[in-house]
Amino acid sequence: MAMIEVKSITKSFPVKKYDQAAKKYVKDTLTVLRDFSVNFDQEGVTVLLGPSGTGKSTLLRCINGLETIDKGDIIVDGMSVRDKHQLRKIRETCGMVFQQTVLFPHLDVMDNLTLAPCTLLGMSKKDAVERAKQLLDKVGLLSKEKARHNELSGGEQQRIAIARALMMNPKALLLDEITSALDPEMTSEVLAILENLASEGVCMLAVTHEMAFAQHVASRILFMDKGSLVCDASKDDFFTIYRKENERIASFLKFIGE
Amino acid sequence: MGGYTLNFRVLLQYSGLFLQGVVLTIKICVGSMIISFFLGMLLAVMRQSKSRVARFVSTVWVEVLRNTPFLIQLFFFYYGLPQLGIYVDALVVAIIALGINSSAPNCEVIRSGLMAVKTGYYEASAALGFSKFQTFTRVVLPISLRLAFKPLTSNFVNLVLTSSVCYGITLMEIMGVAKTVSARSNRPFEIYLILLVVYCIFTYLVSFVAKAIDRKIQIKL
Repeated sequence: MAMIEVKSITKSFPVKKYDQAAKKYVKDTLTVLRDFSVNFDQEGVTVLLGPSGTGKSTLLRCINGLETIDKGDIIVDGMSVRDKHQLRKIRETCGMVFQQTVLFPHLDVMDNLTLAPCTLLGMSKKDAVERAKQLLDKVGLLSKEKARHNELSGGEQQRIAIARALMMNPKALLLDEITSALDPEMTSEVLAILENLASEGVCMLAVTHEMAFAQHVASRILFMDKGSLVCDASKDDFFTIYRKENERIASFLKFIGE
Repeated sequence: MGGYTLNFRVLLQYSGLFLQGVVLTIKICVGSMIISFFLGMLLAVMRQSKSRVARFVSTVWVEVLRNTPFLIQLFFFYYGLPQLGIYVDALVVAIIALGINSSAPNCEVIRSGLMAVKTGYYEASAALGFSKFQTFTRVVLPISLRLAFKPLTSNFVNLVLTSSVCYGITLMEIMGVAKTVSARSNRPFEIYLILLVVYCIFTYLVSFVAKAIDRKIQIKL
């Protein structure tokens, strides 16, 4: 059984549309994901590619229960996201990191890391601090344990956010365009960390526009367009066969400079 | 002006009375600060909640208190409630009335703090597995109270100044003491001069303590 089973989900958002004839705004819905199904196993790095607005981030947010789904179901490790009581367990299973770093501003780095495991997993402060130190060492920021978020660069904040997600010992990491707000130098810092984690066997599900990351680290690539899955292939197949045969993928890759 | 000589010496005999007044003023202020802070927080949360009833109650509460004079609110509690058979000590009435009165501006500043917390923080804590309640108590409230701290201080300064009205319900806090002493000694100029200085010291102390706390807890978003 796959760890994450997305079973033909539909997700739409309410939007306002201007009605020319009536000369007023009317309520409308924008369907982002339509009858979408996919499975993820607990292994390797899966990269979600595709143009903006195709529902990549929405898919991740649905898996984490941040968005409620209209139809279908998502089963994470045997638990349904529709079951509100299991949402906490699901979020423990899938750690998530966002594009905008949101380290808690009233806590220093160490407390940012230890808050969730101490409150939710009942970990003792001492164990949490020890684990936090290991993870900070892993992301190369052990010296910053007393720093506040405004004393850190964007790349450092994102590395801390990754460590914070790993504190909960998740089975998979959901990464939502985590390098999009960073300059190339910081991006490479963060990607190096991810590459390290991947080599240690941490399972990741990443939305990204970093082709270098997709080419070096990914084991499987999903290409999405207009709310549906265009291609689900291994990395090698994607960059060789699909690139040649699928026009949509070819033009996307051309625009992104690959 | 001509010929008036300041004479503080005649007031020395009343220093014990003054000290009692100072203690009573401090009691009133500290008590009502605590009430107004927690009540303000509760009202702010109600104002931001999804429940229509809670929002309505909070809005009416704040609007009524902000648009009526404190003296009348005080008299309402002190002279009005006994008519309903509720008898309360003047000090308790003063503390509660002032606490309720200040809860309105406190609600507004705490609410602005709550509104300044970006949705990203809610999502980040939800994604870590925090429940809505835990997100609120562990993340949102600590952030918003820190953001609201400076304007809260200015509300507390206001509260200290407003506490002088409490002499209106027979309380011998420093304003009440000053009234009495001024009638006995016939030295109103000196007495009210002292009073002005005392209130300046009070409010300065409040801001001094607040600044020290603010240095410790301030955050940048």
